[in-house]
Amino acid sequence: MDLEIKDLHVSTGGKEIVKGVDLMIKEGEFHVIMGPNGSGKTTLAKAVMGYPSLKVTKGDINVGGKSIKEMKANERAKLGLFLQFQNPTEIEGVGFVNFMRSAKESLTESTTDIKQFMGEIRSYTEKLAITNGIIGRSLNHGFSGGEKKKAEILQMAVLKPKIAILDEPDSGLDIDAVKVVAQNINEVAKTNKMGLLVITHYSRILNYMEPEFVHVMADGKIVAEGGKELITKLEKEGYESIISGSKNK
Amino acid sequence: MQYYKSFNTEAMELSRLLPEEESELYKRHFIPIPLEDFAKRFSLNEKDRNEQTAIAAVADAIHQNFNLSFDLVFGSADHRINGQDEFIKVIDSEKLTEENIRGKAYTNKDGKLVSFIHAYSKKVVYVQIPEGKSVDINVLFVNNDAPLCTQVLIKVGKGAKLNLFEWHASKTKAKSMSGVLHEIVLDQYAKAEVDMLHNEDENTYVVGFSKGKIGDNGELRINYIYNGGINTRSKNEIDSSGHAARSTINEIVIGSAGQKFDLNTVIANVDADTVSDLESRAALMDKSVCILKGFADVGENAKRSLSFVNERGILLDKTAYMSSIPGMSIKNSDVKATHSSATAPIDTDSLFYLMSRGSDETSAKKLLVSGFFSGNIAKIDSPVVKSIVASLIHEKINNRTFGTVPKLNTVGVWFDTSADASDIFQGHYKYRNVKQ
Repeated sequence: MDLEIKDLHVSTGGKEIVKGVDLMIKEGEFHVIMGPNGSGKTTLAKAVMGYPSLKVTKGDINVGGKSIKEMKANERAKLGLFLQFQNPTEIEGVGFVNFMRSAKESLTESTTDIKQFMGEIRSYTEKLAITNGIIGRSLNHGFSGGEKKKAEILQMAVLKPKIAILDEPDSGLDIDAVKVVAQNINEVAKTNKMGLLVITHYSRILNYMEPEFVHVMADGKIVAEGGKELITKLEKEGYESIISGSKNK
Repeated sequence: MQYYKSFNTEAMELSRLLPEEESELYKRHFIPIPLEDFAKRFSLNEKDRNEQTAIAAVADAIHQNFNLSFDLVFGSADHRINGQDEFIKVIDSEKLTEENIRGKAYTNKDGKLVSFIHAYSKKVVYVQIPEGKSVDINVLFVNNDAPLCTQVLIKVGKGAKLNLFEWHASKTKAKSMSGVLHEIVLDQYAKAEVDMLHNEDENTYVVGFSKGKIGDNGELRINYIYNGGINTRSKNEIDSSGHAARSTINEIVIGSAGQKFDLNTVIANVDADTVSDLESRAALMDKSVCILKGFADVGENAKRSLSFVNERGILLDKTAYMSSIPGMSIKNSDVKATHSSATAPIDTDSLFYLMSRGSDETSAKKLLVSGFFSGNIAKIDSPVVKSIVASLIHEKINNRTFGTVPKLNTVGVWFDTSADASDIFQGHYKYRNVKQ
């Protein structure tokens, strides 16, 4: 399954945030978008997932060759899209396991084998070193920043999307946790031949990953593209140098 | 019988005048019940010949859905006790007429409703748990076109424990009324949980009055679940009268199809070291209306007492309306008392989050509403009642129906009971981790 973003323009509250992005993510590919604060990375990710208050003013988003622009978020999820949220919503009273079961059943349109399902959740809870556990807790409610990020990766692992967009999977994580999360993302993506788009400010999580395509976003546009060597360049020269370099071209 | 006679006098207290009732705020937010309509239709001798069949049908349907049996099935003109007859009795009421009821002084709007229920109560359900006993009782009330006006007297002896589940149902062809008066008296160290599920049909007006008195170190928990009936008015006054008495009042309202709810509940800390907690939550859609008037009355002798009135509403669409009016009267300075209130539309970020994981909008709303009520459901002791309430919530959001017993999917409904129901102040920043 391919995700194709064509000349995408996205506005909110009358202000254009994404100003013409083109991007193609194929099954099994690993892409990274880096960029300074306010460059439109999160807006792009949310627009792909169908966030209601974002308006696509121009361009299209295609999955498997079909436009998903008019689809609701659940329909996009059913096609195999997954968004790991930068700031996952806390929902008090909705049990994490109950939520996961509901999501799984919606996506697969079948009932869940409870024993197997719980086993899978427990397994990833251990792999991701979620020390306080997940079972018996409300969805993201009272989770630390790190727990929230790990819980998102756990969801990705259990729901097995075809293309996952991970919005800052490393923010809020300590040094050890970054490594654990990165390793799990690698494993899940590889096992399921998942297309991956990681959005991040920093290169630290990428030290444990092998991205094939790196895109730099600034002011709502992709201003530079390359391989992993671009990350090294960014580390050395900073965003400003790359962005101003692209403007001069 | 003696106890019943004393109740008739005390019942007048149900309609005692509270200062806030005369306020413009309360007057503006008031849903009347047109008693005249019922008085014309009903006579004291009215009996529906088909009642037995109808009651049996409702009881059977509930049994099939939940494998739940009732110790007492009670209709307008007939009843049957199936078990626990040592503790539950149905006794004849005094021959009250509208005339002698009207002759007594009523002080407020609810007085008319109290007199109406008295006038049409032909039988009284009397639950008495002797000292030290622990008893579970299930009762089904079925209104079948004849008015079902019932008085329920509950007396729990010293150190005794009662779990009483009441299912109020109706199966009517025309506008009807389901009225119930409760008087609950707990002796010292007695514990009682009363779960009152109102699931009457769309023709039924629901009128409820409860009066509770809790003795020293007694604990009373009442879970009111308002799911059915086209128009509901309730007035409840629960007094923590004895030293260190505790009351927990839990109100769950799920409104659709233009249902109206006007709920006025007063929790009173009368003596020292008492704890009173009122938590009311409403989820509303389809032009439904809910008015919550919770009030904590902290008396002069209630030193070191804790009171909490918490009202929350969630509006599932733009046509629903909610008004919450929490209030307090505090006459002792050595107390902790607080109230809070919040009503909001369903959170769009939460909805998007759930939908982004594959849930369609209805399923996502079901999850959110179940989560919204999870704290209330956690307070219900009986797993069967928990399951029933969770199923009814799902049914209502799915099909927006109430009243008739639907084929509920009780197996498929998961509800989260991780909420800690033991800390009554968990929702309030000021009194988290208060040692009680």
